[in-house]
Amino acid sequence: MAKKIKNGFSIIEILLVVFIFLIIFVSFSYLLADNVQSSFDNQERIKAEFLVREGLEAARAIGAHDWPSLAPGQYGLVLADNKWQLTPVPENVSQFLKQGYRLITIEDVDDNLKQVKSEVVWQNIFNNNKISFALTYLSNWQHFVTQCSDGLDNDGDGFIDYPDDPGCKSPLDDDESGAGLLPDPDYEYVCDGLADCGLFFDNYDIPFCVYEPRMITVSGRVGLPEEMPADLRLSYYIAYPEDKRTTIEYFDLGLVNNGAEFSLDVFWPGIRPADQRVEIHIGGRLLDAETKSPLMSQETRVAYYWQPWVCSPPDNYGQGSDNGFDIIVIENENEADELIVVVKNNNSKALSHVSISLPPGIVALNPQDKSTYIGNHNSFKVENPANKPFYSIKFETIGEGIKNGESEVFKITLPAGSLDQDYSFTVQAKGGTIEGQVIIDFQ
Amino acid sequence: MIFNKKMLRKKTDIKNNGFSLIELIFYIGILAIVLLFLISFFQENLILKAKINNRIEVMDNGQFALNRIAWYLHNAPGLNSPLSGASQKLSLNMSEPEINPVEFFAEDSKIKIKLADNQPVALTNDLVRVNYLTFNNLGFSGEPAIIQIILELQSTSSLGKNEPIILQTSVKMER
Repeated sequence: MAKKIKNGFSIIEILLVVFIFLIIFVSFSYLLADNVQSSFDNQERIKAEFLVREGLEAARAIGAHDWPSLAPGQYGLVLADNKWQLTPVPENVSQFLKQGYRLITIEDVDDNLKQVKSEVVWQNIFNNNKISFALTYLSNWQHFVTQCSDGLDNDGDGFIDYPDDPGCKSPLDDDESGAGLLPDPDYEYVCDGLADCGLFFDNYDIPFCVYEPRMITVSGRVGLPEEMPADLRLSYYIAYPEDKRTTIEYFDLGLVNNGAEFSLDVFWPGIRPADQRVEIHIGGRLLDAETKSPLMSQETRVAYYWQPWVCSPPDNYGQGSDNGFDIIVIENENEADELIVVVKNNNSKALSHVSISLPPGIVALNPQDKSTYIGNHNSFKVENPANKPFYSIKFETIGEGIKNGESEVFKITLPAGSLDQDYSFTVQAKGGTIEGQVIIDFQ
Repeated sequence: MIFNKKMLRKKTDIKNNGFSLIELIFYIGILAIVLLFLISFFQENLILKAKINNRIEVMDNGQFALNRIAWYLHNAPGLNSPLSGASQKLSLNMSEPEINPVEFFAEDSKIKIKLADNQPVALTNDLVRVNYLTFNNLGFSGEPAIIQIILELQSTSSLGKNEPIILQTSVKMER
């Protein structure tokens, strides 16, 4: 009988090969499709984020124009007469995104604070729903800003705010058109701040990415015609645009001549986690030495500002209040292990001492025991470490301490690695018989 | 004819280890189909990758330009134009003389920024064509402006279907 030898593939082998080939092919196809989907999703998300941002900006504009119109509820946006308005129907944005719509959700936090959510929903190339949203808080800043400090010419007389507008008695006056200080009929501008007189700050507006509170020195020089002295008045205020701004502080620096140099120390309040912008606006004006009338039609201004799109937001930051003491603690692990503590005393009794707890067994490297710490208001006698009222570094005020809303900054350098572990800091401040204690937990 | 057993055994014991002509043609045919399929698959893949890169380039350019315009709008102390309605050019009044005014506009199919009297600088590259750039002032009378920016741009590549991308956002000025 003939011997038959079969060297070809069996049906099982062929099926196995086809199966393996199919698995490889399907895997490649899936990877490719996933890659394509991710790429398209990313591009759609960028479009959506711009639309989300636009939704928040539109809500801000509507709120600034008509605060009561930001009633709680869900809305769409519509352009009527080239102005944003809220409508009850979600806005169709299908021209940008497949089956896309934009929704604005408003919730009350309190009478002067709203939570606003801008949301864009769309379908991706595989018809899966996608969503992009952003939240913000809007405050009724006009509630805090008076007509005489809002930067607008409310009564249309050509003058803006105190002290330019003669209808303003003070920055807190809410009526620019009222009877304020009457203008001097013989008053005339000697110069307009651009030609031969004015104030020249050393810096223009600058971004200031500093989270911890500190003093900033602003300097510049005076420009005046020769042999014409004038009074120099500087002012500044701190603005949290989504919150409120402080009242304007004025500093009369007295008689100055051409070329005189000036400087002013202003308090940078630091950045709180919820802040959307923080700015210090410093202004200066030259006044006639005899009549005290302004020689400049407008103040010369410079601003230090922090914005989250310029500087990253802060971390390792905590704050608390107790018995009229506002206390902020910042951990700074960037260059050296540093602890920054800010104490604001809102009481009428002066601050006598501050105790800041230390991690167990740790002694601060700086300031050293029995040394004198120089703060921005006072000097302090340092006890490092102190065991009363708890294991801490203690600062005892030398002379009359801060009070009535004044702040003091304490910087403590710790051994490297001290802040690696999460730790709760206790800060105690005392003035007279009033004692405030705050625990800041970084866990 | 006379056969002996030895001859018969020799002939029937020949082992058939090679391919027949039919089998060879059949296998080459299958191989050709598989190769054709794989080549086509990878070619499509490469084209798709190029298209995706084009779209990424367009989005990156658009995103960069819009963010840059938004940054200046947030920080500008004043607006020169458009004071109302729509315009092809945005002009901002800055406090620093060396960059005053700052202008944004589309020229030669690119978005350009012009600082004071300096030469305009393109914010988009040669791989992208800007079809239009519009600024629309949506601010309420007597209040800080809110500028809507609408931008259409597409890739300059001729590869495949080249759809334009429209980006839109608004920025409320602070002052």
